Amino acid sequence: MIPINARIRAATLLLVLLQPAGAAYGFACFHGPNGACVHWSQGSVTLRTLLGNPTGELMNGTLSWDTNVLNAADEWNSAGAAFQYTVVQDDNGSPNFTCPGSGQCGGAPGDNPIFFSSTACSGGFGDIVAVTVTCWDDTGAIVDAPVLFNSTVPWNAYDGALQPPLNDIHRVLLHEFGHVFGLAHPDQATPPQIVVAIMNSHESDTYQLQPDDISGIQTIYRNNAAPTTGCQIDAPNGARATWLLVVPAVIALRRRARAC
Amino acid sequence: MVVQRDFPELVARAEQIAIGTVTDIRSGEDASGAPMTFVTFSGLTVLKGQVDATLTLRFYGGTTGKYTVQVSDMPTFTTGERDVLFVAGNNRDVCPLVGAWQGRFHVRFDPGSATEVVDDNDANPITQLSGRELIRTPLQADTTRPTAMTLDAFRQLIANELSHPQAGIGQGSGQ
Repeated sequence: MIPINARIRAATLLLVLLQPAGAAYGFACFHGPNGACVHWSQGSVTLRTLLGNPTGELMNGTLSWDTNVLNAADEWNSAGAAFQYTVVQDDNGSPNFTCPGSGQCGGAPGDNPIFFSSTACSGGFGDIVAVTVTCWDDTGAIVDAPVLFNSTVPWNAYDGALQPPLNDIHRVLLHEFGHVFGLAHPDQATPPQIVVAIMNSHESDTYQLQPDDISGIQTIYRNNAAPTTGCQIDAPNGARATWLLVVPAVIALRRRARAC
Repeated sequence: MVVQRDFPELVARAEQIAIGTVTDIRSGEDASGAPMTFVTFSGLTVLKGQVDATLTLRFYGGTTGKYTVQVSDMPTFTTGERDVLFVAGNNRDVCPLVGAWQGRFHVRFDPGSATEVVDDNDANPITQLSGRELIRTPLQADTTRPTAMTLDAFRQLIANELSHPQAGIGQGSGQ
């Protein structure tokens, strides 16, 4: 009789070996004060877009920047996580955003304006094309995460390979919305992860969510319930003492332990 | 998310290039109350521009009261580490390095060759310059660390680029 631990290890190894090349996950998150991933304490977050309309049709056929905001939010919403974006168009509104300071996050809690700006908080953008200013409290709960787009660089919207000097707003929106809910750059994790991901640290030919990105949001916001303390806590629901069910749970927990 | 910068762009766009050791990291606020992280480098070797005896770089982000502000493109530093820095926009931009994290390289002592070698911001060894691009071999936990370029060789690349700059360093403030 082979001990059950040995069987679990063997089955785990077999499943790992059977994964297709490149299936390893490397997603990373922002770490809060307790070491866990920072997170929204509710499963639904509103994005308020003030990007408005370009002067003409964009290269991907859309007519407004806001449509690209909606599309990017929908892609994350389709990832199967217990987290949903709601987009509100507020093109005639004001960002109502002041950069965080003096012991406060910027703006009202839960208000996440998306807008063009010629300056980032406290200075210029430099070589940064867009920035998410993620602010969380001492429990690791995200308070707000405004997204500022550098208005001094050229923007359009297109699929496929990068076409410098045009920045593709759709892929940058996907990337920044990953920061809004707490993902960080996998290629800058410790140790760095070599994965194809929209969350990697610089613009690339990747223009859609990748399995690694989806695994990231599913890990932080899982179990169809709002997270409470980030992804270091509780084991997945429904893990039972049969090895066929334990093995995937072990794999999942190992991934979470590595990533978070 | 940042614009990708090649090696000639790093050199050309840098207002200062320096090698130094991190001797102090401090969280604070600027005059407007914005959270900042101030990283001071000492023991400087200056390769381009004017730098005082120490160099303090100002990065946006940090902790203010009970809140932490994170801007994902900022590199992080550890006291005692040695870096090569391509500085631009210090006290002006949210990140005072060319290409944000792309303008920071780690200097590491390699016991095998008994020399200082150069890794990128993500600890991937720099192995050579090919055309305009620095070639970095991704560091994987299950592989032997590849041989990295020595610091002397990296300095020579910078000197060569300063004396004979390659054409075309991009355009605009962000491109």
